[in-house]
Amino acid sequence: MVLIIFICPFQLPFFSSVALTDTIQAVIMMFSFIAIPAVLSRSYYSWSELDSNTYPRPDFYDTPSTDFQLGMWQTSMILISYFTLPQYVQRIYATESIQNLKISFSILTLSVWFTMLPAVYIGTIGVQILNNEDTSSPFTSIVATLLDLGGFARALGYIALTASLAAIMSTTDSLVISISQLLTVEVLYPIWPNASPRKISWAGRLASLVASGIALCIGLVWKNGITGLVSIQFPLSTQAMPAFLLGLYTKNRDIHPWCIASGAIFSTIYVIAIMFGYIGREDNPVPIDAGLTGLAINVVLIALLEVSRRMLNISISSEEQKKKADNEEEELETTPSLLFPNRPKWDTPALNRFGKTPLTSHLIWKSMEGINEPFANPWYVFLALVSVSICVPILPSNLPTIENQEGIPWWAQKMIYMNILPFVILVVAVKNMPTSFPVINEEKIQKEGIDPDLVELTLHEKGMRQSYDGTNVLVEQRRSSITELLSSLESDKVVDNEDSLERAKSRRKLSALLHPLDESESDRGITDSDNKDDEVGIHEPVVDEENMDE
Amino acid sequence: MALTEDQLLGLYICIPVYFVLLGAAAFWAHKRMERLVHDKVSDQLSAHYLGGQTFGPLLTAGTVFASIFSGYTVVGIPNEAYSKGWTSLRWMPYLFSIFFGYFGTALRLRKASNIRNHQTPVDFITDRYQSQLLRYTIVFLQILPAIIFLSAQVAALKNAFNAMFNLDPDAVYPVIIMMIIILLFEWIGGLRYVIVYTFSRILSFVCCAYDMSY
Repeated sequence: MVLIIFICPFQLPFFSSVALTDTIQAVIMMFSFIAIPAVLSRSYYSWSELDSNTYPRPDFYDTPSTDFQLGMWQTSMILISYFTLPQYVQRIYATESIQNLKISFSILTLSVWFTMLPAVYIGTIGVQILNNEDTSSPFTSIVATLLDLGGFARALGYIALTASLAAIMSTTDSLVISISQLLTVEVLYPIWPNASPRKISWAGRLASLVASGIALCIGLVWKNGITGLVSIQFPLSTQAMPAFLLGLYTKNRDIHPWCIASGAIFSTIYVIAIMFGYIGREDNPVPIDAGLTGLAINVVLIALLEVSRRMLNISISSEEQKKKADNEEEELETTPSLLFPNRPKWDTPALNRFGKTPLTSHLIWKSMEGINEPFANPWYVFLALVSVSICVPILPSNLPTIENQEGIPWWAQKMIYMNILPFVILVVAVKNMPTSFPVINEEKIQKEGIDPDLVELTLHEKGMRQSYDGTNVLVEQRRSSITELLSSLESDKVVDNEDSLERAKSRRKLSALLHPLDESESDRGITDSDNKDDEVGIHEPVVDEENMDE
Repeated sequence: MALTEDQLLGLYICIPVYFVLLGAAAFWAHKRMERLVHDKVSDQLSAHYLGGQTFGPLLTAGTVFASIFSGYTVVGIPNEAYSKGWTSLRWMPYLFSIFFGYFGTALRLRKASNIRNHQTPVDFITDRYQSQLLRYTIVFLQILPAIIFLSAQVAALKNAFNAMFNLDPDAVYPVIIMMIIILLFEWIGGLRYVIVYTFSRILSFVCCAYDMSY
């Protein structure tokens, strides 16, 4: 109900019955997280009934150590880089529309309170119930006490046990498929560019098998616990963040890829050296996060190399510059143009499948015009960092508890209240997110023109990949038709200012090219009524299917 | 405290029900994938790895939720709270941090994918920087941490299953069998299966709850 109330006010125009079902399903998923604490507090204890004098682990009431606080802040910072993980990006691409993403983000924002808080509740109440019994799996032991209660609690216990297994299996599967996609599409497909879809599909299965085999070996041999493995994963994945952020948000001037690659490679070597050479060997290592320090090295190195590169570029003579420009012109005619030409051939990837023009910072920013997005707002970034930082309980280390403290420790209460701030910022950010990308304003296009490279692909155009780097003929033809129509409209305008029949026809044709009928219309905010007005009936460019296969 | 034989009886019903539902989900996903390819809505790769890019709100929310809240949420955090106390509350701001980055960049990545047909996370890097050196660096930085995280899931699966069924903590055959099952279902149904099974798991919980409460 809380989810429905939260989502309804800003989802109402798009709030279909499917979205409602989705919300209900998410509520069912959260059910077990909410129900267990409810049963525990009813049948055993609640947080308010705990007492520092009788609690089996009174040391839990002491304030956290300085090392813990420093570590917590550092981890909070590096976790922002999680968006680069393949399984998350895969989901952004897999959804049909950004409206679906908005619904998902709304549920996620709320779910922190319904998952994390109950999880901590179960563990800390479990200490009291089991009287700090030494157990290899505290969660299973706590659930076993529920099974003894019978009735609803017993059913809930089985739900929780199956849920725990299912949750691990679901994460495992998500990881297997994302690794498989990367190995298949990014490693095997370039080696075997004209392999048939069936062969590539089998290569994908082989990749899943190999990835699972390696993970099985590491997972079974590794003896330093799950937390030890995860603590290596976090700092490593953080090193990919600068490449993504610089690629997405730099304005006007592009940074040379070698500077970014050098930063990433060097910081990765640093992280591995620190993790295995220092933290893994020292009994009491300094609480400095390898991921965060690696990220700092990464960024500083990129800045230094890029500044040096630009300073060196100034020294190129005018004659060399002319020669460079001539070379660029020659290259433009044959291959997609390069942002940084004059690089060795081995460094140039196959780019035909993306289009004729490069994806410049200018193109990215232009494509986002009129879209309210959080990271483009410096205040969002600032508030995000500050709000997460103040959730760290900044306290003197290991202070003993206040005598006869009832309930949970005061600093834990503070931690919970402080989480309201990042929660509110996220609620506002999600609320301001659009439910669709802006509709192309045709009048504006006819007046000012449009960059055909900004035209979105239809679902049909997206799903026509037949080789590793084949040109997407469908979209190329549509884009060139748009360019031709725009130039013909422009020339008509010069000849005759009146709205001729030819001109009206061209306008309708342009409209059909800009809004081809497709299942993926929801992302562009086009409704059925928009297309009903289209009298031309041309919804897809005429395409030579045989040519496309080539 | 280990589960008694009487308590294990319920699990002997729940777990097979759950696996049957997984099989059904994989079969449905396979049929749906074949239809997408047959109807030329999607190519084989996009159908397998991105579900044909046709996920509605139900599947999107389910999969995003399931990928963020991993097995560690259900088992690991209560275990950490049991051994370390209220400092486990650190996971709340950790999740908010993840969301700040994820929500902040999602729209831009999505838009770039819409206009350039990016299908893998590395496609953005390849298209944006046009460098093999950087492309393979990012491929490495995505695959290696993912394999490490996958290894952590293997260890978690082994611990959880062995503890649940009172098996030897070092027994490896249950986790190997479960990995084979996961792999088989993934081969058959692709990403759509991964997502559908999130929902089948909800259904299995409801069935178990119904069975056990009587």
